[in-house]
Amino acid sequence: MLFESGISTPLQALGVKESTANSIAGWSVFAGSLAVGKMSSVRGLRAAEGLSNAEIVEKAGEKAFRNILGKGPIVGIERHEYATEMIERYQNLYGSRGLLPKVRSADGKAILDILDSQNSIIYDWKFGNSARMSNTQFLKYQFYFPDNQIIPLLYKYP
Amino acid sequence: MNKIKISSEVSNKIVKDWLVQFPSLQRYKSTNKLLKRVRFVVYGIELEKYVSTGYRPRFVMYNLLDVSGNISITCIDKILKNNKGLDVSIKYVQHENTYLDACRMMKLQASIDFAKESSIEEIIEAILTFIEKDILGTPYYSCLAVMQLSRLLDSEAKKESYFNKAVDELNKIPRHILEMKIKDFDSWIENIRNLTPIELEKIELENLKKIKV
Repeated sequence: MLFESGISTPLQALGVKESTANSIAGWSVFAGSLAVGKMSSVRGLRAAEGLSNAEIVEKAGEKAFRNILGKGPIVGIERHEYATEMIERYQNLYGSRGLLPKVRSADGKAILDILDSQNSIIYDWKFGNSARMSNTQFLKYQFYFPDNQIIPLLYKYP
Repeated sequence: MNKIKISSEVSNKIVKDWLVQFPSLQRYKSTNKLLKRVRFVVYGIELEKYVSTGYRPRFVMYNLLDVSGNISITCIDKILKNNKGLDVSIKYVQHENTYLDACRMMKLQASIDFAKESSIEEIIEAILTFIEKDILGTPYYSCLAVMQLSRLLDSEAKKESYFNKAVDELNKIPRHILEMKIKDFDSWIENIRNLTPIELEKIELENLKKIKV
């Protein structure tokens, strides 16, 4: 049993309260779509039922950002691990959504946060006000995983 | 999510447990990779440190003819899948209860029989299966391995057939992406096509000096 009893909905499985799911008071989450060269909302991708893949990834990052406090690279790693485990748990409970954590390139130089293999989208969690996706990282992803849209998810402090 | 610091004893024990199930493989240095070498490739199992609480078994194959700096490059890198189609990850605390199932799955899902010595043709077939079914990123490195390995075959027909299959797969990559790696595609292809087994052996020896799997 992965979750404590009483958790029944997909949203709750991610540990997000229904009432807070669509409003992140005081906290900002942005999704930038670099591959198409413009900012776009990740909420536009609707799955057959429950949360869309984009929402699952976004919520997992959001929960990690809220629950693990602090700054710096160690905190960043912990947040990534937390969010990764959230997604694993969700898929274990509700079935595979094609969300693959920590996919790595052949030479191990690029390790993706999440590859949405159903929609060909790479999600990259960026926690903190100064976290950005560099051009080098973008080009690396583009070479190793061509034909995938790259979406950095930016989580900012209030 | 409780953090667990994994001691080297625990990680050694995990590697040893897997080695008992796959006696034909050998631990590479003190890493978490259990490998076996056949001609220009090294293949086996990597017990990837996944998150701080667990590891993921992967079926890996490295092409010794192609290195990036001193890093060897995989031509097969496949994560074990469970019956739900999800990646198998094993929590350190649950290793004892779950690793035997994972070993059984690995034997079924690895496209190569670890117990026997695989031929070059079997290795090429395994790479092509990976390209067809499992690859998530660019097939560039896997295709390159097939092209290089095909030069070792005796049968001219098979040599060309495998080589051309790999070229067909490469042609599916958008040209502007390929150009990030290769400047003149056609002459690059011809250079590989003309490689002889002796030349390949020379490349392998050079790479072995600097390689870090």
